[in-house]
Order: sequence, then C-alpha cells, then structure tokens
Amino acid sequence: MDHSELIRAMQERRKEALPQFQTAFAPLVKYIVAPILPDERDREECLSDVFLRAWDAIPDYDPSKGTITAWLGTIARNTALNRRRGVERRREDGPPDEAMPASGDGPEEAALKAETVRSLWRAVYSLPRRDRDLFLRKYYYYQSTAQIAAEMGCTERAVEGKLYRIRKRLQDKLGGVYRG
Amino acid sequence: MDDFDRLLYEGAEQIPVDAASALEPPKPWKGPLNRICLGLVLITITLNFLGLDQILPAIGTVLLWLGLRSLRRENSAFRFAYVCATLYAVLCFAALLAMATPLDKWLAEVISMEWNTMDGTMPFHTVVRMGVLQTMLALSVAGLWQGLKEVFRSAGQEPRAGAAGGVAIVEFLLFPLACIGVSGWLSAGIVLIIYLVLLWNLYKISRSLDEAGYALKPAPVRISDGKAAACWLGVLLAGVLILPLGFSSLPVPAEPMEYGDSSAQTELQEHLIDLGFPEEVLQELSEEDIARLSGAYGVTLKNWPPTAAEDWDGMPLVSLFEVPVSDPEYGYRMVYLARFVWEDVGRIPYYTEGIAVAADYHDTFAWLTYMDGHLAWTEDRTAYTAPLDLQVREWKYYTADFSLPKHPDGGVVYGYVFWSGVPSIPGIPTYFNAAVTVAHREIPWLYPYELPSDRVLQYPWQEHISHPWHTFYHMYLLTSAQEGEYEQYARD
Repeated sequence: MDHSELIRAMQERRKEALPQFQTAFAPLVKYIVAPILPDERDREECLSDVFLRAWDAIPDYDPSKGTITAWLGTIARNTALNRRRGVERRREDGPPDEAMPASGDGPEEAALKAETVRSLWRAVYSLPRRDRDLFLRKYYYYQSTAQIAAEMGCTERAVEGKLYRIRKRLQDKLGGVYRG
Repeated sequence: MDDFDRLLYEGAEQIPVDAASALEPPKPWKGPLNRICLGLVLITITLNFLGLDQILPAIGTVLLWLGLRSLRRENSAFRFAYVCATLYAVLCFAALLAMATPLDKWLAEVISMEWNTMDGTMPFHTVVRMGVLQTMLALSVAGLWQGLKEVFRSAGQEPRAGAAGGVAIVEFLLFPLACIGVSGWLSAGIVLIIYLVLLWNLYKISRSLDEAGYALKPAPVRISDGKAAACWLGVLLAGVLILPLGFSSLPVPAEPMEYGDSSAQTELQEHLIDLGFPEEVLQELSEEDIARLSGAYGVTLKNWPPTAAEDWDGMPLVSLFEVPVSDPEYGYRMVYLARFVWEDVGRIPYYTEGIAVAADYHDTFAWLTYMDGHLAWTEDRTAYTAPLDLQVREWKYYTADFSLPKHPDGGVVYGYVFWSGVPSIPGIPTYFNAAVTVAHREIPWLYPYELPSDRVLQYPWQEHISHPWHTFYHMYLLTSAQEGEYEQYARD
C-alpha cells in the first residue's frame, strides 16, 4: 500500500491500516522524538501517543496543505515537547530545563512576545536555505550539534560557527535590545 | 544559554500554523545518498570533451567516498562499501596521476601482451587496471545494496533496495562489455539501455528511503565534507602539476661512442665524397654506419627545411640521403639515411621529441629492412650515442619518442635513422614517396600525457604549431633505379 492509499485507509477509519502506518512512519517519529526526549522509556511512550493522536487527527489531514511527513512531524514534535514539559513539572526539585520555553507571562508581555516571535519568523525566512535548515534543526527540532554535524557532513566546530553567525544575523535583523 | 537563545527556542515553539504544516523534517539519508548517486552518475557516464572524462569521474569518486563515509558506522555492509570506495578512490586517483606521466609507455614495454576486442587491441595492463577499478566500484555498490537492505530490516520494514542491486549488476557488467568491445549501433544501444537503467535505479534508491531512511544515523566526521573533497582534489591537482616535472621526459640510454679508422673505410669514404656525400656528415657517422653504404653508385641529398624557418625554434633540420648500392643477390637496393640536427639544445627547454618515418607510402618495394637509428652528441668533449627505440606503428610508420640530452657541447644533437629496400620491379626506374614527421614539446605539462608519436600519428598530414606541440611534416619524392640509370632519374 503506498502513502496515499494508506492515508485514505486511515481516514476511512480502517483499523488494519494503523499497524502499516506505524511500521512505515515509526522511523520518522523516532527520529524527531529522540533529540527532545533523552529517556528511552519516555520515547517509547511518546511513540504510542503520537500514533494515537495521528489516528484521531488524520480525518482532518488535508494533503494539499503539506506532506504526510510534515504533518506527522509536527504532531511528533509537539507531543514530545508536551511530554518533556510534563517530565519537567514532575521533577519538583530538579533545575528547570533552559531550552524549554518559559510560560506564565502576563497579557501585555504575551502580546509583546507574540510580536517578537512574528519578527523572528520573518527574519528566519529571510535566511538563506541552508542557514534556515540549520536554525530549524537546532531550535525547532532540538537536535544536538553532534547530530547536526554528522548529518550535514561537517565538524561540530563548523556547526557551532555557523550557528553563531546565524544568531548574529538574527540579532541584527531583530535589532533593539536583541542586538549583541 | 543566554536570553537570545531562550527567545529563539520560544520563537521556534510558536511557529505560524501554515509554516508548520509545510515544514518538512530533515532527511538524514538525503545528503549521503545524493552524494553516492551523483558520484555514481559522474563516474559511470563520462563526457569525452574538455577533459571532462577525467574531471567528472574524479569528482564522482570523491562524492561516492564522502557519501559512504557518512554511512560507514551504520552496519557492516556499509563499512565494506566504504572500504571498497576508499580503495577505488586511491586506485582511481593513482591512475589519474599516472596519466600525467608516460607510465603507460613504460608498462607497455614491460608487459607487451595485448587484449583483442571487437574494436581493436588494448594493452593488457590497461585491461587489468580497468578490471580492478571496475570490480572495486561494483563491490562498493554491492555493499551499498546490502547496507540499504539492512537499514530496511532495522526499521522493521520489508527491504526495498533492489534498485541498488540493479546498479551493482550494471557496474559489474560494464567491465566484460568493455573487454568484448562491442561496436557500432549494437554497442551504442546496449550502453544507452544500461545508462538509462542505471539512472532510473539511482533515482529509485533515493525514493525507496523516504520511510526507512530515518533509521539511518550518519557517522560523525573529523574533517568536513568540503575540506575532505578539497584534500582529494588538491592532491590530484598538485600531483598533476608536480609529477610531470620529474617524469614527463623520456631520457635515452647514453653510451660513449667508439670510432674506427681502417684504410678500407677511408676508401669507401673517399668514394662517397666523390659521389657527393657531404664530408662533414661522413665524419659524424660510425664505421658500422658508413659500411651500410658500401657499393654505392649515387647520392642524392634532400634537405628540409631548405633554409631555417622563423618558426623552426626547437625543431630539427631534417636531411634525407638516398644512396643506391649494388647488391650481389638482388642487383641493387636503395639505402636511406634520415639525418636530424637539433640546434640550441639547452637554450630552449626540450622535453620530448618524436619522429615518425613512413619509408614507402605506395608499396613500391618488395621488401624493406627494419629501421634502426641512434642519437649522437658530445658532452664534455666525449662523444656519446644512444639507440633510438623505433617501433612499427600503423603498418607504414616507424616512430621513436625520446628526450634530448640536456647539456650537449655546442647545443647540437644529431639523430640518424637508416633503412634499405629492394624494389618490386628491379631494373625499371621508379618514383615513390617517403614521409618524415617531427614533433616537439617544450613544456612538461600535458594532461593526459601524450607521446609525440601518438600526436604525430593522430595528425600525420598536418604541419602546425598547436600549443604545446610543434609538428612538421614533409613528403619526399624518392627514386629507385639501377646503376647507370640512377643519375638520369634521381631528383634533388
């Protein structure tokens, strides 16, 4: 069964399609979840959550808006991040994870932050393709420098250097208090 | 992590919905697989112009190696493919470097065997080299095939790597096809079909990994792909520039020359001078060479160029001596001496010289002797000689490739080529043609390396200066006639 048939079967709620869907897309989900959830058990549980959410949401999936990998990738990433936040919350005495976004801003602060985020994404989309991909790997998919370096065929130092330059460019584009 | 980093993480969290739905996850297999596929295309499908038949396979070899380097830690089959690709790259680059030197000529002297194909013959060492390289390439693709199957299995999926198997089979088939040397439409058809199958299979390899490819984990590298590629190609470029400085010349084995001085020789010399043979040329010749002219009854001398031409720099002056001699068995035979004089040797940097002599363009002779010849010069007041390795090429031509000695006294080096023949119809005066072509190269760099004789035989009828070659050609009108008639028919 190819992708379109598989998706149609899932949308028609044919339960026999789910195992095939899982087999086909488990490597993708594991690939996205792994950098966000360091613990193996969390990853396994997250994997089940992702396919459960996918099963629930797939009737609304519109192939004209994006590919199945992009759609499933977004679900996998968001599910993994939610799980990570849950793990953080449960760790009462543990230090907060610096990479996790802070929450609980007031309405004024939230509006300001929303504007900053919109400016940030405009700046990100103005980056050259390779730089944008690097930014997304680091800040969207939470990939480690080592993983990025191996997948892009360069050294960790080279990746750090590129990320440093990307940060500088974004700081310049955002201006104001963010200029270093 | 500073505030700005935190902002970047937070910002990435709040990606606009439309942007998120179009966001394709990274594909870890795409880089390595693309490099491998592009590498295989560049290696296998070569374009024979502007040096692309060397440049593209070199780049392709590096891309194949880079792609398999990323996959080497994934499983043992990929490791095997990587080792084969490394060996292939080393051998391929060694072969490309060897093309900057006359190694093929030396190997052909050591291994004289030839391989017969439907297209013609190939030196045996070329077949061996081609076989080793193609086997290494096919083995690395076979390793890739097995490695991909393993990736599918580790992802819990049914292996769908048959396309890589197809490429491996195509690569294995290319060597026997080259050995058979099928020609014409059959060859073009087979090769075209193979290339199309190859391209289709390479395209399918990348597609087949859309699901299982996420199970691939590229290995970390100490040197980035760009730097590694620059290293490979830099070594190749440096080798191509440096190797010719030491290995592009073709030195001749010099031996001190011995002169004889018998009274019979003096008699023969006097007779030849009476016939019009230049005395100064006779003084250059050895006792053995002069003895070839015993029984002479005429001498005709033809010079080329008649006077030194402006663009003659580095080219030898060529004289052709025609001497008919009485022969107890055949009545008479014709003896020829082509004399070459290189001047200003040492002032102009001479790298390689070539001469090609076609003794009998129109099959006038019943038989011709093998040509033989030598170079002669003095150095520090000692006379030296070196035999010329004259080879029969393309039926009519005798060719020799050599480099001149670097510091001859007075900057002068002489070359002599002798041959003789008996006419097919003795007693009837006959005119016929012989041709002498000379080639000269002044710079060491020429890629791929080309022997002067190859150059001459490629353009036997052309006189031109085409950097880095100077090539000149002259056709002589010669005469064969018996004693008593020769003077009447011979032409200067």
